[in-house]
Formats: sequence, C-alpha cells, structure tokens
Amino acid sequence: MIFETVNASFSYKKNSAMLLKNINLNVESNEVLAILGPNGIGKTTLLKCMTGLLHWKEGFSSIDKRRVDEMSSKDFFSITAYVPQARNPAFAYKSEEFIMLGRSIHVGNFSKPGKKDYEKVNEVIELLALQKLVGKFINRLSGGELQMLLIARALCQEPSILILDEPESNLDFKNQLMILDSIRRLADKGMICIFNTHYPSHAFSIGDKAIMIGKNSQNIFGSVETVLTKKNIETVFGVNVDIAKNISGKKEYTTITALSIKN
Amino acid sequence: MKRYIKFLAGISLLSLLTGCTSNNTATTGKTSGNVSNESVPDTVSKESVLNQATDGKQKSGKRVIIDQYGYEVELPEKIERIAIHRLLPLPSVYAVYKGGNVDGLVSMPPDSLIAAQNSILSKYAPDILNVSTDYYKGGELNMEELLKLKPDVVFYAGGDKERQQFENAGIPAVGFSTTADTSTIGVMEKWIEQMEDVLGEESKVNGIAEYAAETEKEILSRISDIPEKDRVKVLMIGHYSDTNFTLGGFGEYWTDATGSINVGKGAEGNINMEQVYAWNPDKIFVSTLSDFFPEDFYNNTTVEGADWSGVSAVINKEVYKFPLGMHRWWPPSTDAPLALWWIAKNTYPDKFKDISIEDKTKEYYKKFYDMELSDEDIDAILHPVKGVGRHYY
Amino acid sequence: MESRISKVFYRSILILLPIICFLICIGVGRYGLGHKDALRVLADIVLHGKASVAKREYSIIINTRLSRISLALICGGGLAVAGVALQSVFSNPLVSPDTLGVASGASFGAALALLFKANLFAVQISALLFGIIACAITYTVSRVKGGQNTIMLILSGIIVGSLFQAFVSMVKYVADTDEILPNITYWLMGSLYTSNWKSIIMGAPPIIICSFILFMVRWKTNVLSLSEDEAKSLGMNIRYMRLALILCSSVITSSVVSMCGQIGWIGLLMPHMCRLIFGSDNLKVIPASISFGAVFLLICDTFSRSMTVTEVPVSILTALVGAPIFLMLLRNTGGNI
Repeated sequence: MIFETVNASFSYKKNSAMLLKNINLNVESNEVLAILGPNGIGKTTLLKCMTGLLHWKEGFSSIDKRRVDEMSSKDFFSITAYVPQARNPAFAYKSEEFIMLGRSIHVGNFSKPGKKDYEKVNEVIELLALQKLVGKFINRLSGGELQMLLIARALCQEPSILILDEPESNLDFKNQLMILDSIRRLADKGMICIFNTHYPSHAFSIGDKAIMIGKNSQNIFGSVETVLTKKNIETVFGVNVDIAKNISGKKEYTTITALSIKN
Repeated sequence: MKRYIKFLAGISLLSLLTGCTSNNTATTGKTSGNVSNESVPDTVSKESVLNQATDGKQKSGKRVIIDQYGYEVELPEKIERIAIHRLLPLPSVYAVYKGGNVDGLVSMPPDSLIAAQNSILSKYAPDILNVSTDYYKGGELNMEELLKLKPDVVFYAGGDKERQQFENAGIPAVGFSTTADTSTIGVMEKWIEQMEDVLGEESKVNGIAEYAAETEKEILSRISDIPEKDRVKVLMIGHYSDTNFTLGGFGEYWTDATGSINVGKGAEGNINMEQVYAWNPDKIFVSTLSDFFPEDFYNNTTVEGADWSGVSAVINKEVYKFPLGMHRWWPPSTDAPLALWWIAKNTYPDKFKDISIEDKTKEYYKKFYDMELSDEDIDAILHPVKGVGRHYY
Repeated sequence: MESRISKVFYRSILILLPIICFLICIGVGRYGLGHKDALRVLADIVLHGKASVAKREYSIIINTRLSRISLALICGGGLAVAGVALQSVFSNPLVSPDTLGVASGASFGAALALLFKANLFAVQISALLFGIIACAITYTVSRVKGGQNTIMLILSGIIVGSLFQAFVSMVKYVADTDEILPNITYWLMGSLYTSNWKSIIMGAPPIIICSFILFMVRWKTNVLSLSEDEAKSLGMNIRYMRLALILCSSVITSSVVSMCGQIGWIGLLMPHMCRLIFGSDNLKVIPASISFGAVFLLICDTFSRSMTVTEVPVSILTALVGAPIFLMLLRNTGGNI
C-alpha cells in the first residue's frame, strides 16, 4: 500500500496566502513518516488535510492511487486511523469502554459490540500493556495515560494506515519509548505510520522518511538522513545542532544535541 | 475556576427552571373564591362609615379610606370614572346600587360583559352593554388600555401584584375582598357599603340584606329537623372547563345555609375524577361560570377523559345548573337570596313543596328592581343559555 | 468485560422497576381501591370484559389511574432518553430539552396552532416544528470554535427558551377570545391532569417510536459525544447522526408538551443519575434513563394526584425533588460526571 500527497496546498481562508504549499510526500507499507516543524507551522493542519478532515485547496492525497477526496469517509477510515492530541473528554467513560469506541467502524448503526469486538479490545490492551488502566475512568487519568488509550482506540480500528498527532508529548520517559517502539513494530508488521513530532531524535530513531515544514511554506521531504541535516534544522528551527552517531550494543543510534539558538 | 463556573451555571439553571414553574403555577385557577390572608376590617354601621368619609384626613383635597384588604387608599376629590378589575359580579352590583344604570363605569372584565349580554341585566341597565372591556385583552391586564379610559379609581380584587401595578400607574385602587364575609350575601353587602364609602352616595336599593337574613332563617327552620343521616351530600362546582376543575370558595356558604353536606369543603385546586368518586355526591350544583350543563354530565360530554357515569348524582339525574339573573347566582350578586331558595328547594324538595321559585323571583324583581318579569324572562333567568361561562382565568 | 450474571441482573432491574412501580401505583388514589382490589378489577376487565366490573371501578381504574400511569411512564421515559440524546449531540452533560429551549419552542408551536383553532394532529406537528427550530437556533448561536462550549450552550438555551416563552405571551395577547385562551395558558403548566385515552393514542406512538430508535442506536451515540474530528475519524456520518438524534428528541419533547405541558428536570437529572450509577456508556445509560425516567415521573405524578384532595401540578414536584438532587450531584462531582 502506498499513501501519497501530490502538489498539495492549503489555506484556511479563501484568498490568503497558502499555509501549506506544494506538499509532496509518499509513504509505503512498513514505513514510518515523521513530520517536523516549529510550533504553529501547520503540522496538525497537514494531518487533517491528509485524512480528509480538511480539504486540500490544490492537489490531493491518495491511497494506492485512489484519491482521498473521492473516497467515502467510511471507506477511508476503514483503512486509516487518526489519533488526535489528548483533550479533556466530555463524558467519563471507563478505559475499556473508551477503547471500544474504536470498533465503531466495524459496528453497524443499530448494533452494539459483539464477542469479536471485545476480543480485539483485549488484544490491544495486552499489546500496549494497559491492564492497570482497565476499570478506571478516563477523566481521572493523566494526559499520558489518556494518550495511550487514544492509540489503543485507534488500533482497534484495525487500520492499515495509522496517523498520530504528537503521540509522545505528555508521556513519561518510559511511555515515550513504548509508544515509539509500538509504532515501529506496527510498521514492521506492514502498517503505514505517520506522526507529528517535536523531537528530531524520535524521527531518527523510528522514522524512515521525514518531511520538515519551515517558514514561508517551505518544505523538505525525503529519507530521514537527507531531510534532517544540520543545515536544514538550522534553517527551519533556527537552532544550531550537533548530529552524532553512537553505537550501543549491536545497533547504531543517531543522536541530536541542541547547541545554541541561531541569531 | 472551571468548576466554579459550572457550579454557577447549575445555579442559574436551577433558578430559571424553578422560576418558570413557580410563575406558571400562579395561573392555576385564580378564582374569585380564593381565600386571602389579608386582614379584614370589622363591620361598621353605615352612618359611621359615611361620617368617616367626610371626617377623613384631608390631603390637599383627597380623602383616605382603608379598603377591604386593610390598605390605606388616597381617593381623589371627584370620582366620575370607575374601572372594575377581576370582580365579575361587581358591575351588576354597581348597577343595582345606582338603581338601574352604570353611570361612571368605564371599564369592566369581559366575563362580566358576557353575563350581562345574556341576562336580564341588559334590560335593567342597558348602558352596561357599552362599557369597555378592552383593558383585559389577551387575558392580561393591559395598563395602557386602562389608562386610556382615564379612570379616577379602580375597584379590584387581587394581591400585592395588582396593587403595585395600579400604584405604579397612578390609579387609586380600592380592594374589594371576596372573603370579606363568610356569607356570600354578606360579601355583597360589604361591597355595597364600601362603594357608598368611596363614592359618597347611598345605595338606591335597600333591604336586600334584611330579606336575605329572613330567608336564611326560614330555610334553616324548615330543615332543622332533618336528621344527620338524611342530610344530602352535595358537590358544588364553581369552575369546570377543559383545563380547570376547581370548586371555588362560595360553595361552602351555599351548602351551610341550606343544610347539606359539602363534600368538597376546603378543597383548593384541581379535582380529579377519582376524588369525585371517593366523595360520591348525591347532588351536584354547577355554577354558571362553567360552560357545562346537566346534559353534559348525563351524556359524558364534559371534559375529554372524564367519566361521570358512575357518580350517584349523575345516575339519579340530580345535576343542577345555577341560574343567571342580574348576574350569575353563584358568586355574590344582588339576586343572592333567590339563590338560597333555589338551592334549598332542589336539595330538599319535600321541605319546600309549597315554594315556587318562579313566584319568588317575580316578587323579588318587583320589590328590589321595580321590574315586571314576564314568564319568558323568568324562564331565561332560571335556565341560562350556553356560552356564558367564565373564559378568562 | 462484565460477567454474564451482572448483565442479566442489571437488565432485569431495569425492566422490573417500572413494572413494580406500576403494580404499586395502580393501587394508589383518592378513592379507596387498594392494590389487591385494583389488580382484581384490572384482571376482571382484561379477562371478562368491561361489563364484569362496577361502572365506578371501571371508570377509576381505566379512565383515571391507568391512563395517567401509562402517560407518566411513557412521558417520563421519553423525556429522559431525549435528554441523553441531546447530551450526546452537544457533547455536554448539562443540556436537556428544557435547557436548550426545545420545550419552550414546542409550547409556542402548540400555542400558535391553537390560536388558529387547528386540530390535535396539527398542534403536535406545530409543536414539533418549533421545538426543532428552537434547538437549531440554540445550536447555531452556541457554536464557538474550540474552547469550552458549556457556558455558551446554556446561555443560548436560556435565551432561546425565554424568547419562545415571550412568543407564547404574544400569542396569548392576540388570542383574545373564549376557549383559546385557557387552553394556551395551560401549556405552560406541566401536569398530567388532563390525561385521557384520546390524546394518549395520538401523542404516545411518536414518543415510543423515537425512544425505540434512540435505544437501537445507543452504542453509536457514544461516538457522537467525542470531538467532531474524532467522531468523523471513527467513520461516523456526523451530520445524519446529529440530525437523527435531534429529530428524535424534539419529537419526543413536543409530544410530551402537547399532552402535558412543560415538565422539567427529568431530561437533565435522570441521565446524570444513571451515569453516576452505571458509568457514561450510553449502552447502559439509555436503557437505564428510560427506566428511571418512567419510574420517576410515575412516582411524582402518583403523589400529584393523590397526595391531597386537589391536584398538585407535577412540574412542581419534579422541580422540588429534581433541583436539590441535581445541585447536590453538581457539588459532589464538581461538574464532572
């Protein structure tokens, strides 16, 4: 499966300058795409456009050459799961009830979840080690725990494409690692994963491809190595960094250290 | 902070909703028979009342009297234009007080007009048909309409709300209480007394009170020997319409004066059919404030869903419709003593075989109203037409 | 998830509760017929026909008690589930048909139809139409991009509600004649006093049908209470779903208004209570609300018609009981359920 965005541009208001300009990207099965950029540049907007929640003003997104804007919402979200940033919930569901909502795409309008749905929810709880959250009310959970539930909910959709908006923000050290790990494992199993992040190092650790969005609607797309260079980071973020490779055990890790703010 | 705002929202919700419901319940059957808690001045003789009027405090040409609710009212020197609010019988009492006309009456309730149009009052005081009822358009007091008529004073029944409204509009308001006396006739007498006090004119018609007292005495003496177990159970219905089934306050006097057992004694508010069955009255008297007639009870064509067929009074065809003379005979009116005879005769027919209501009516109207009634007139009084019930609550 | 036993237990409670209340309340009333006698009469009527019981007893059991009990169960359950539906649409536990102005709009619609001397059916349609319009206005006015919608929603609802109450007064002013006026004034009072089989036959089916629809989509409504993006991303057609829920709750509310006037607190209090006991999943909240709502109104109305010699309008009782309980709940939970 391949998810593409071709020559796409977007602006909120009709005649104003494009917030996002000429976005070109592609991600295939088994790949992770990291989206980076400064605050307010439009990363969440990009995600929303890719999922059809907002409409591209120019260009299009597609799955296996099928244009997203020509797919029904139902069809698209049978394939794609979207994990938004954690927000204060209106109602205090129990964790497992909340996760079950992800099965909605597979449950008819006049039906309720069945055995298969309950099994899937349990599966996902196991996968993300969320047993201790079962039975708790979501309005009592921390931001990070809620984030985990959102990801669990998305996985219940059994998607082929997983799109996450800053999934590791709000998470503690361990949970960050767990999430990144899970994303990587899902990708290895065949899923397409796309995520926004503030941490270039996370892009390095699990990303295959990256797109960095800068001021004046510049954007750079390509493999993580080609996009996340010292020069590009300096241009887009205004920060001097040092990029180094470490070897620990058998694996090679790329670390990125912020040195100073560019004047 | 968020918590506090939500708490505030809850409070305002609460006050809004309870505010709504309490406003709305205020419209439940505000009848002329409601018991009021205001203090009532002691009975005074007519002479001392008139003396008080002239000896009263002088405030730059104005007199002050104390009305039947106990409030001080400042009256203008000249009273030439009178408005009446809520007291349905008062216009007819005023017509009798004036001896056959309603000079000076500029505004009255629409339900008084309906009664006047369909009763002998239109013959006794024809100018009553020209009195304006516009001030009560829409079932609510329209102060501007009332002010257009430039009333010098308003005779009203009501509570603080009405009193404030008139005060704010600058119209001297004299309260006429519907419970100024336990006797319905007594109430009418007190009304006449207060009118004499306010208007400084003696009533053109006298002697009704004495006649009433004699009537009461005679009736009671005739029935005094009826043992308790043979006393008739009576249901007096004041108001009965699609949305209102309340007994009203005057029924108790009618049953007390005629020796029957009032099953609904003390009941204030809407009655449901089950309660009627629990009482199971022997006889039912329906006031002319309601639009239902005995046939409606016998044929179950009263209110949708109300089934009267099992009630003793209905089974035995003992449902009676109050007559309509100078005004409806149910509330305080100048025909009240006749009502006593009519009720007594229908309650204990054996004890009043010799009494002819038709004759009594003819005599009464000649004596007090100087009217010669034809047989058709009498028939019209004793058998009121449809559609003269109360429509504004 | 949950054991079989507790599921069965919980379902039986919900079904048994109204039945038990029915059996108790049929034996309560101003006339002497107690439970044993009342049930005996009912059984005789069902098994042997109307002629087998005394006229009086038939009248009391069937015409007075049974019609009011049925009306109370239907309207109570309906109002409660309408409350849940609106709370899902607006993602807000503090809304209800009363607070969104739907009930006021329905009152105005009914009053307007009465002004033109329309028949019973037209009155219901008019009530429905204006109930929906009121809801739509509240919804539109309250739309604030992002941020807390609670305050805006409640404020809009109060404003729209007051607006329509004012319109009703206007109708009263114009309707300056006879029968029309007392009928219109009546709409403002909430009372089951004038219940009769004729109006129940007209007004009950829409309530039952729409409540059933809401019952059938109960699990899906959970999704609607998430943010718009989330709900869309879970594959839900938000527009249709919202419309369906608003339509159903408006039909229920206007039917109730056309039969009983405005009865408050049930649509707000019952869902709240049910969430406290059963959690927020509408899979449970909707059936529970229907059951609790029916029972609550039935109990209140039974007091209404038998507490004193004369009737107490039931909306007074629902407010007297509902308001303090709700205040207490708000205080204890700080607005969070």
